[in-house]
Amino acid sequence: MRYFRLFWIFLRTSLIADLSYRMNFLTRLAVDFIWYAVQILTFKILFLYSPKIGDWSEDQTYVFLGVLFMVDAIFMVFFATNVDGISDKIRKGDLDLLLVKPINSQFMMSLQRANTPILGNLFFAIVWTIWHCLNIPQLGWSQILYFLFILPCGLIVTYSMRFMMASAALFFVRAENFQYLYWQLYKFGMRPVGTFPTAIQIMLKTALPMALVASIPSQALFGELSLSGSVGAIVVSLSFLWASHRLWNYGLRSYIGASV
Amino acid sequence: MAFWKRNLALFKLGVITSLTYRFNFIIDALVQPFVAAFVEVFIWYAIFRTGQLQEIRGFGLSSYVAYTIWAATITRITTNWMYEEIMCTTIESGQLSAILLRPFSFFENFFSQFLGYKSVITVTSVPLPLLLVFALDLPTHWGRIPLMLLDVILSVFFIFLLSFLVACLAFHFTKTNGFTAGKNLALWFFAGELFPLDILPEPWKGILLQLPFAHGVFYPVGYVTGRISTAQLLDAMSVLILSIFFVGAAAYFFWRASLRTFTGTGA
Repeated sequence: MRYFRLFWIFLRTSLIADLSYRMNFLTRLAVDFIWYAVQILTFKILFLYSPKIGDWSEDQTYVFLGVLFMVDAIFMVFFATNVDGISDKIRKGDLDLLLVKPINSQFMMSLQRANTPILGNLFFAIVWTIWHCLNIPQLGWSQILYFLFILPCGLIVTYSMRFMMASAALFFVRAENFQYLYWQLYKFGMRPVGTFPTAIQIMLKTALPMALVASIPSQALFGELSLSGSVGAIVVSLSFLWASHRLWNYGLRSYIGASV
Repeated sequence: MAFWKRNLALFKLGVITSLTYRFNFIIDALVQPFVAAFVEVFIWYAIFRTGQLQEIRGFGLSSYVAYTIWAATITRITTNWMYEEIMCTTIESGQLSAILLRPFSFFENFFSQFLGYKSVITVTSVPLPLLLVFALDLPTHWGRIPLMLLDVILSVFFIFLLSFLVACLAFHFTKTNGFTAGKNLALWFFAGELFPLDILPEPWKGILLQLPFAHGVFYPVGYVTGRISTAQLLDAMSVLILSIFFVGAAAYFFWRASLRTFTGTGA
């Protein structure tokens, strides 16, 4: 309960802070819309030449993009600013102040600052997904519920991987490029998993679970995800969350205060 | 003489700074282009397989694979996130005051460092596509590489001027990272990193190919992979050179006007 209350306070103060820089508020909104537009236009153009890419039709791919945007927007709202700042906090010694607070340090490092302008993008992502879902035949409520059950796996994997990459700052002093590395790996998640060869698909569902970000939830929505597939997705995402927690605690043991 | 000496020192500083954190550098120069090419190549395989296509706009799968491999590297050379952010932060935070007191300009300081950084990236990244297209026997016109590099150099200059223009906004807005991100995301599309711009339908194809942003990826990569002829490239380069003069003049006047508003304590 205490954590929920804290989270609410973080959210409220972030909104107040974001509204003080209105121009920046608007540009951040616009930037993500540009990112969405680039992704949508890319697939629009590729579909001029092929009725399907991988296993999916144009509408299915747009739903996939909507799911990708949703997961991305939720991550951006609640976690991105915090995770991006971890490396700096460690290097400058700001982590010391957080460690002495009577609260879980991973919670503080992950949720202290929300990026409220992105709530607009989340709204767009939801509308975009629903709009394109209307063009998917035989989409029932059971599939929608199944999708909503699997969707958090994508968010958990995104968070866990980003957090682990950011935690590398506890060992390497400068870890910004780990974040860039993540963005490269994330590109696997930005394409439907069906476009990759089988061996890479297996890797993307297990060791490097980028398929869980949007492809697996989309498969659940289209009724293409088996029970074993969903169990696998849950196990893998929870394993990554556990690993992120372990890595953080392990890294803290080597942290000597006032930067590494 | 003093001009070259101090800029050479700044150039060296850019080289040293980029190599200070070697692990970061390896990710920046090698891992990023490799992963980007690896992911995009499979999209083309999927399109050609599921569409049962032999060619798209007159070019076969191998041509698209070659384009993707080259594009991933060339875009690393022609984009500018890091120095644009540093320039913006320098102005926003008021650190500009320290640079204004030094015997070189703000532009020289960052441009020479930027060139040093990009030189190291070029030397370390370019062997990767060279090796891949050679090993996989992908369509590449080896004799065209010098002119391609000239186009890349001009494009680097143009992109830096755009960054300088965006940095000037830091005099007028408290936070400018949104402008940087927006500009770079737009360039990502307009440059042709995601797909060759000549597969766009008209009128978009005609419009985007006339813009100087296409020199960020499409023109150099399209030229070396045989999508465009030497005459087409030279024609397009004239637009790029004109754009350099135009953006350069705009940046110069915007900088001078903006500097008058600078109070020395941040924007």
